[in-house]
Amino acid sequence: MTHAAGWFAIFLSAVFTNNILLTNYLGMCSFLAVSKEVKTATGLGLAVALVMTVTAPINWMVYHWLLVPLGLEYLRFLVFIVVIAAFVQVAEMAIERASERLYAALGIFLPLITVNCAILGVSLFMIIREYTFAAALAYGAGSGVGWALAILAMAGIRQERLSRARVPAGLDGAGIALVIAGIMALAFMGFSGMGRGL
Amino acid sequence: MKRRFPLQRQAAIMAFMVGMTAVVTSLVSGAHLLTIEKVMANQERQLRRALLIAAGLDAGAGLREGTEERLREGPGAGIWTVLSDDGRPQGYLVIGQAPGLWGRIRGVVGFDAEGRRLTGVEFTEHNETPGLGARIDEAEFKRQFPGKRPPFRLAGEAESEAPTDAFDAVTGATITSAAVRDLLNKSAERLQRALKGDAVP
Amino acid sequence: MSGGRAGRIFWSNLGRDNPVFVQILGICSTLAVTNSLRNTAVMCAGLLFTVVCSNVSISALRRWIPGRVRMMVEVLVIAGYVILVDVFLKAYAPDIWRQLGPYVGLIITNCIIMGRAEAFAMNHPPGLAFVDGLGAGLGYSYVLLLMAVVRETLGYGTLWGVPVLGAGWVNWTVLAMAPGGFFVLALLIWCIRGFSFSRGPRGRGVAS
Repeated sequence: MTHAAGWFAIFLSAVFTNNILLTNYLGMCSFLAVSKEVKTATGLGLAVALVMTVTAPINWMVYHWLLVPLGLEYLRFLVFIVVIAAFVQVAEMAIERASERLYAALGIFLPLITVNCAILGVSLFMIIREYTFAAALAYGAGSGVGWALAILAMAGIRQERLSRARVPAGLDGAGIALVIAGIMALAFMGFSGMGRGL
Repeated sequence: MKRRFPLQRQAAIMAFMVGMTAVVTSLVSGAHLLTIEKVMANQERQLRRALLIAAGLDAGAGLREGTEERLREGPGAGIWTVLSDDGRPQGYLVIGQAPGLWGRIRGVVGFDAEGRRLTGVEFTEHNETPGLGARIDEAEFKRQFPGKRPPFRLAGEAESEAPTDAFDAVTGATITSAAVRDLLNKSAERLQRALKGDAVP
Repeated sequence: MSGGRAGRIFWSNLGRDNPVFVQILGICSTLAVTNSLRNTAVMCAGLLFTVVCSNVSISALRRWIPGRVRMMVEVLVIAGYVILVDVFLKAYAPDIWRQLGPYVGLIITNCIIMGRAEAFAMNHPPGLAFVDGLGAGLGYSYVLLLMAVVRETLGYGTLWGVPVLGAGWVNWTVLAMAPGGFFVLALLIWCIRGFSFSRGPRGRGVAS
């Protein structure tokens, strides 16, 4: 297996088989709160994908080139979350100056992202799995795409189907969203085992 | 909408952040340093215990005096020999690893003197999903291994009486269970090579 | 500060403003471990400790925290406490620590802690922040513990690792896996909303 194929396998499994949202429940809060409309879900999905793709390699470098040589591995939670928060803040400022339209689309979601568990989760799992730099990049990007895919699918279902369905009063809103998430998780489980063949 | 602050204000914010970071970091580091010895001791004890459990020498009721004296390192890296009372090898312990669902699974695999039967398995490190894959740590799962013979495979659904080369997977954690199978098989191969005197990769 | 106000804050977190049922917050990291009662109890204890401590600390610091870096400071404080929990578990309960793995660290991003810090601690005195943190933590914990009871009993036939349903029980494995967590929480929300809380206007059509 060449390196590139390995990275591709990591990417694919992060998107489908080990979707960080549906198998590890990470990033649930914003997933449920911001999936009522496709448009806002797209914005949040893109923002999460962007932040994950960038912070995973940054945290990889910080961990392997700074924390490990100094023997400070136990500080990783602290350092990772600060890196993520700082990146989000910088990204917010950069986007604000670069493009009004992009800021209008993504800007309001960026602060939400700091507390998106999926992003911290990606950084932690990448360390646990002892990925190389390129693998971490593939994993970060894959998880981001997977997360965006899940929230888009969810928003599609909620906007297109649910708005016309009759839902019992007590189950309306979050309840039915959870049921849908459960069914989606079942569907994504169908992918499991595929990544092993690659 | 441009947010501009005077330089002093920016500096004050920076200083505050640096100060906060310093305080929190030193608190955390302090806690870490206070417990580091305990953590190291835990890990050391855990490895010892894992070795003895895999060798079938620890019935959970604590260690008998002198039991640890019967472990010798070798042959080969990451392999231990268990000596019987008269000083002859009565079994071998292989420290093996395999990639699980989330991260590396590490464990000690115990074999008899020929390397043909398991005496026990104990996991020392894993990051499997709590409540699913992480159940490989439970006694009920590990209890099935003594007496099994390599090469191993996962038992099928219909096999109520598991044959000696198959073991029951953890329900709902197929990938973790497959990783355990790989770990066992790799360990068995490594031991066979070491016993034949080949170089261990 | 009257006792009545503190009491109201406390009880509303357990009922009317329950973070899980009503606000659907903070289920991220802990939902994953609700297939085992013991793991859930440990996670909830860690969360309770963190939310109370961070609420009090942030409330005490609230006059000095510059508005622009508010989130960073909150995250920093929360992360500090979570690492303390992690270090403590690692040293004194290594078996549980091994079971939970990275999930302890993910308490940092539990939205409840951040949410309480942002919404309550930033503009209330430490005493009330303490009560609020306690209420939010407990309100969260009892829901998750309830879930864990359902999932572990039906999913594995055990409770706290002890078999309770007998040998004839066929495990509902799906409840122990990820989708089961969603279904059980949805059903719990349905039951509780149906029984005890006042029904708001029918939300359908309003939200989307």
